[in-house]
Amino acid sequence: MTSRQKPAFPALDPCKYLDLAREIACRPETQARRTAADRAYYATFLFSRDQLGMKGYMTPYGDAKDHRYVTQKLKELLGFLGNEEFRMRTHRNNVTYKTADVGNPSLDWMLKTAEEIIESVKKLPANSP
Amino acid sequence: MVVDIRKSVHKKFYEPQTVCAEYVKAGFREHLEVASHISVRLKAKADFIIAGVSKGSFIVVEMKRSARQVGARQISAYLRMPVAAEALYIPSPERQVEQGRIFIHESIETLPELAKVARPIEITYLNQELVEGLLGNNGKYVLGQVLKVVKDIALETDWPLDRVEIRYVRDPEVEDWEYVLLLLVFACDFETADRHLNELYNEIGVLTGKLSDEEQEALRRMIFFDIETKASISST
Repeated sequence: MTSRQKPAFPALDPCKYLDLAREIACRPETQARRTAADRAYYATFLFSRDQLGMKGYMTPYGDAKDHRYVTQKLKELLGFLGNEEFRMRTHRNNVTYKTADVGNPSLDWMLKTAEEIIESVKKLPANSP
Repeated sequence: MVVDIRKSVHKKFYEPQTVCAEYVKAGFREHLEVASHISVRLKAKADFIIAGVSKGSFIVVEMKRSARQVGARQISAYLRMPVAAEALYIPSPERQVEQGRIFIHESIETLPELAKVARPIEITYLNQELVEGLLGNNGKYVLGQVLKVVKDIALETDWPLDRVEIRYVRDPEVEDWEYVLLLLVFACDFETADRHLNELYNEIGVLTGKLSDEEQEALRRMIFFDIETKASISST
């Protein structure tokens, strides 16, 4: 890729995934709602991972191990919001991998919990070594 | 009225049967009258006993042999009643006395209050050996403390908590991540169960403050919570 080429996937602010999730959440099709739930989780996870890294709380691996790392760090720093992030991931796996009916939590719960975690992570101060 | 308990047929509560509703209702009331005149002791031998009717619903007191616990739940439909009515088993007061504790001794109206203090919370393990092996001594202690908190808050605030499943989980997504999941199974809608989970978070927060650093680490790293709901069964 030359310096003048536009990347196929430009850099992303993970919160944009949450905006997208809200946008498609009002569509009635299950594929839209499942995608919204999935993106709500990824907005939360990626934003938390990046912020915790930037603020000096962790050094992300940049792979699947970060799911564990982020959950445990959030439990350490934000108490049971870390458990809520864990529940979001469980539900994301359900709506993404199961093609049969999937019950609660609702999409509203996913969106609300995503907002709550993201806002709390934003408020974390930088970690002083 | 005399009921010969020796002839009582003791069947599984969930065994399906079809019986005429009116016939069953009559038999049900008959049994209720008997139940209201006897003492039932805490040392339960029956799996359940029908004890009351309220607002068209049926209150069933379950007496679990293994747990020696007694509890009540409201069955909101006739669905389970035929089996219950036929399989009624009334323990003999003479044979079931334990420390003079009378559980039900008056009318059925006392049941909701009794149920509040006596609702059984079943604790089940999936792969108990793996759970205990993963947790180690510190973690087992923490799990015990967590379960105590769950039971206390559930009884004190009358949660419609049906059971707690303790599961060993090897994460399907993250390699080498093992943990213990406490799945709280509620007999209510999701929103109510979720509210109760958040109440539990507060209590666990209080517990965390009393734990050593190692124990806090075990709680943080290895114990997770989630809920499941069975909204079809309404709680008392």
